[in-house]
Amino acid sequence: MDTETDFDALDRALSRAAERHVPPPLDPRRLRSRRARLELGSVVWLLLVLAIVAAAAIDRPWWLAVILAGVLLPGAIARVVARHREVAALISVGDFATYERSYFAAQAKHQRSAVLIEAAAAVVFAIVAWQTGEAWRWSVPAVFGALAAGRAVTVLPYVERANRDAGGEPPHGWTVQVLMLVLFLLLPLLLVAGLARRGWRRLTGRRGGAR
Amino acid sequence: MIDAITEARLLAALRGDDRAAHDAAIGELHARTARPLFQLCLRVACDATDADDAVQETFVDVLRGVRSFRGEAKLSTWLFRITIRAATRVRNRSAARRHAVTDASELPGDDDPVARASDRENAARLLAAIDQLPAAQRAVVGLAAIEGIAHAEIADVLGIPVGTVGSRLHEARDRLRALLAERRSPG
Repeated sequence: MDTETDFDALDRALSRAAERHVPPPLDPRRLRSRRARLELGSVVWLLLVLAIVAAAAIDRPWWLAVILAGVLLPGAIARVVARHREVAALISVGDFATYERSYFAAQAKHQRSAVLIEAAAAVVFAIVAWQTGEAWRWSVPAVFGALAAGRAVTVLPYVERANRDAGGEPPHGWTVQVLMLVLFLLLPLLLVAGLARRGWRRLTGRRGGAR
Repeated sequence: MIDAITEARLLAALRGDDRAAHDAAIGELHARTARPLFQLCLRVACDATDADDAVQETFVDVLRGVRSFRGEAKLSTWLFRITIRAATRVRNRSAARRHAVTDASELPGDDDPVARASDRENAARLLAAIDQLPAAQRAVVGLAAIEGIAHAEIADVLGIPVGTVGSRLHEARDRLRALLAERRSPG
């Protein structure tokens, strides 16, 4: 058999094999629930984080939750919509493969940072709870700790595997991530908190002196 | 694959709020398109199980996006675009655990011993070669395998000029012939 007829014969054989395939049945209810989970997942996640932050707010959880929802929720919804449109606008397969690569590469980095941030938040809130000595406050570090552990066990391996499969750039190592967290998040936050505290004391001290 | 009247009817039902009509429409769309979509997915994902997954994901994406489908392209064109994306996604996702299809028993068709076994062997050989093509060529090969699809529609699906479809298909077939010849006479 020459190469030409060989190829045509193989092509027909593949088409016949595929023709004989019986596609698995489609269950519209399962499809609908899967779609709903995909769309609601990110919103539920955000609400959960909001609830935790609200619980961490010292005395006024309800108004802090409202402010945070007002500030964060529209941005999060806009991001979901923008991503949906971005994906819908991709036409060529090459574009889509490139998009997937960059998306998972960014996600792999983001998820590692998120694990560290949640773990750091758990430690910070644990210190707050320990200093105030109120039992209910331990629920906040517990939830942040559970979030960090849950993310590290479920989301992170999935995203890193997807990134490897898509051929995306590998994320930074844990040491670099910890250093970045300390240098660019924890130290600036501590600095700002220290300055704010000093300013507040100076302000209240002057007021006290005027009286 | 789907005529204009059926397309309008299905779209109306899929976008509507009547749950029963919606379920019937998605069922009908699946019955009409699952086989050609499987042909496409098989050549893009190069694995029968992945191709089945990709067809299922295609319908999830259809449900998610049907309300925003503006109708500027034919329903089938839109469906093929979604299918290629789903098949590429599934292929990427399972890339770490996947292997080039060389085991013919993974392919469909096992109820007629002699002729079908031969088909499966041949299909597995071609699929292993398609697996080595670049993504853009796999998509053209997959679309070209769908019965009744014109080069103009393939161009529309992939967003490339019609002439490029022909040249890409030609390049892909040349490459496949070379790969098959290499496999037949290794070394």
